[in-house]
Amino acid sequence: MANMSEKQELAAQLRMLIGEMRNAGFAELEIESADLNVRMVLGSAPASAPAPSPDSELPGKSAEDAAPKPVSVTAERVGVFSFGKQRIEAGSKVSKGQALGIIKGISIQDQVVAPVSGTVDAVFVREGEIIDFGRALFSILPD
Amino acid sequence: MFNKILIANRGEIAVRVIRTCRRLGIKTVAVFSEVDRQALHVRLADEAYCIGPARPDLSYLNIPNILSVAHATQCDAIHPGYGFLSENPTFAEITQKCGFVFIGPSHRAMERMGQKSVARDLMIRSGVPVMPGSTGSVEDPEEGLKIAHKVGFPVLVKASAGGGGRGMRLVETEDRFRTLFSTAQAEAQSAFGDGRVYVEKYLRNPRHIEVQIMGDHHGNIVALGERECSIQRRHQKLIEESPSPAVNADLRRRLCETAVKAAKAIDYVNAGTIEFLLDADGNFFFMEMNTRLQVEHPVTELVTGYDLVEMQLRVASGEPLPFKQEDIAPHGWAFECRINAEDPANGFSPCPGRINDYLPAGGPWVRVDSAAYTGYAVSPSYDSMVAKLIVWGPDRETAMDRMQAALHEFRVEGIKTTIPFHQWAFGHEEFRAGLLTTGFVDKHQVSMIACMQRADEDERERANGAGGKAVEHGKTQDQNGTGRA
Repeated sequence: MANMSEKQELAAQLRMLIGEMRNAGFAELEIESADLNVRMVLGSAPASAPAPSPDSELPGKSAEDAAPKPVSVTAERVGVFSFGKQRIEAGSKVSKGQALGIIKGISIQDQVVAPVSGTVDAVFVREGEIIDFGRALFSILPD
Repeated sequence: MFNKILIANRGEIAVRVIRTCRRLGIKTVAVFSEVDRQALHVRLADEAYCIGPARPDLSYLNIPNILSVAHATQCDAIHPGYGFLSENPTFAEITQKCGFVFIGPSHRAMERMGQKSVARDLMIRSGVPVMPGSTGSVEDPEEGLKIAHKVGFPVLVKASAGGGGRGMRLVETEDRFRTLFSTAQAEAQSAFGDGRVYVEKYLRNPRHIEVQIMGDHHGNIVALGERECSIQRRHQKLIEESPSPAVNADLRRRLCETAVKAAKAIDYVNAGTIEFLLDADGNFFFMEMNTRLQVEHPVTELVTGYDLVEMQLRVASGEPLPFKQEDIAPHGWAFECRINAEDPANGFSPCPGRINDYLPAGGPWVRVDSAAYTGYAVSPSYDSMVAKLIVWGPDRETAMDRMQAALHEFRVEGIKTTIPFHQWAFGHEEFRAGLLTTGFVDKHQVSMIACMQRADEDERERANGAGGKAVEHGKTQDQNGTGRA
């Protein structure tokens, strides 16, 4: 989970950088450091766009806002997904620890629970879908 | 025949199994760890699912996740490949209990061959020659010493539950026996939780000869000839060939009969290999049985003409073997070189990393089994094998020449590989004369390392010298090579 929000953090920072580049009129920017190597080219060709594709789980508004960052819920087991009785949809209010669905393995059923209280802003999974390890299932905007 | 199978493995062997399945119209499900998302077996399979992080115990050894994928995707059977879960009797048993066919032997056969002293006793009772030594395990060092005197020094004290050289001690002289006996016991206890050891005669510089067998569910067991795998380093095979230059028709018949006898003793089904040590006088002794498909199975495929993975699938689905013992008539000679991401000039230390340029050898009678490609990163989490280069020729001489030509052409840039080692070996006069023993690499270590270092220097000079010219020269050579082929 920590890993996921780190990625989102990075995506937000890159977006901010792109804004700055546009403002300053730069077409190309290269950053090299010990643990980061980014080359960004602004233009119409999508193939050369180096920033991660805009994730649907990220809000469209600028990242400078103090708005809460969405939390991604990923699968830690492998199996077939089922929502169960109540159907979680985008906009559903959930509370921390609430069951969002189950992953049925060959001899194990694993509950997927909400890590935080908030509003579901994206559902990435369908009923009956085969879920592999690390797969993103939901995105929740914390309260 | 099966409709869909899961392959519980990665790398070249997963690719190897997928290829035969594709030809037979069997759908394949690959499983992979997080670092293998870009792996070739993931791309080639009909479906692929991530089963865990890089650590093997959390992914490729994760029985619940593997079986959950097999269940969710409605597979009929599971092919374990080699390594990972392939010789795990518990996995074989659970797989069957969950309603899938395990493409391999029964878990009972695996269990019995996995315990070395049990296997040894079973072989003695079945009339299979074993290295002279104790019957079953030995607890008392005095009793062990008596046996050592009877068979003559040097002797090996080996852990019954052992493998990979752990819990094993070579005892050269009587005065060292008691100490080394207890060391082996202690090491076996800590490594395997089982302190039982046994004593057997140690053979100096034997040949490693193994026999491929295949059994079906109708009581047929057939031997598909021998392989010689004497060129090894610390029990890791580097070069294999079939047939063996040390085996004549009479010895081959006896080896094959003995291997079939050993397999019948445990009602063996599917592919298996009986490993023997062969001494200079032509005596052979049972060493162990590998209850799975071997890395070096392609050399047997090239000389017999049978696809062993196809045979595994047919037998596992209940079909009888399509051949009898008298149908097996090996033809010509085959070699396999294991191209590993290791530095032979530097104690074969592992060299994981990204391959910037991958250009496998080609041409007539050249086969490459690999999961590598340009841009592929050899992960430090798994074994270091990059490719298996296999060639066939009508005789040993021609096959060796073809291997040398293929090695010359094979390019793996960005990491160190064992290609220079193989070039050295195939140019060595003792190797070319077929004078092989398991001590070959150690015996010639100094000259081998010197040769590797010279090759390294040449490489550096070429890189530092006229770079553009070297590239152009290489291109010209390639075109010529293609033209000749």
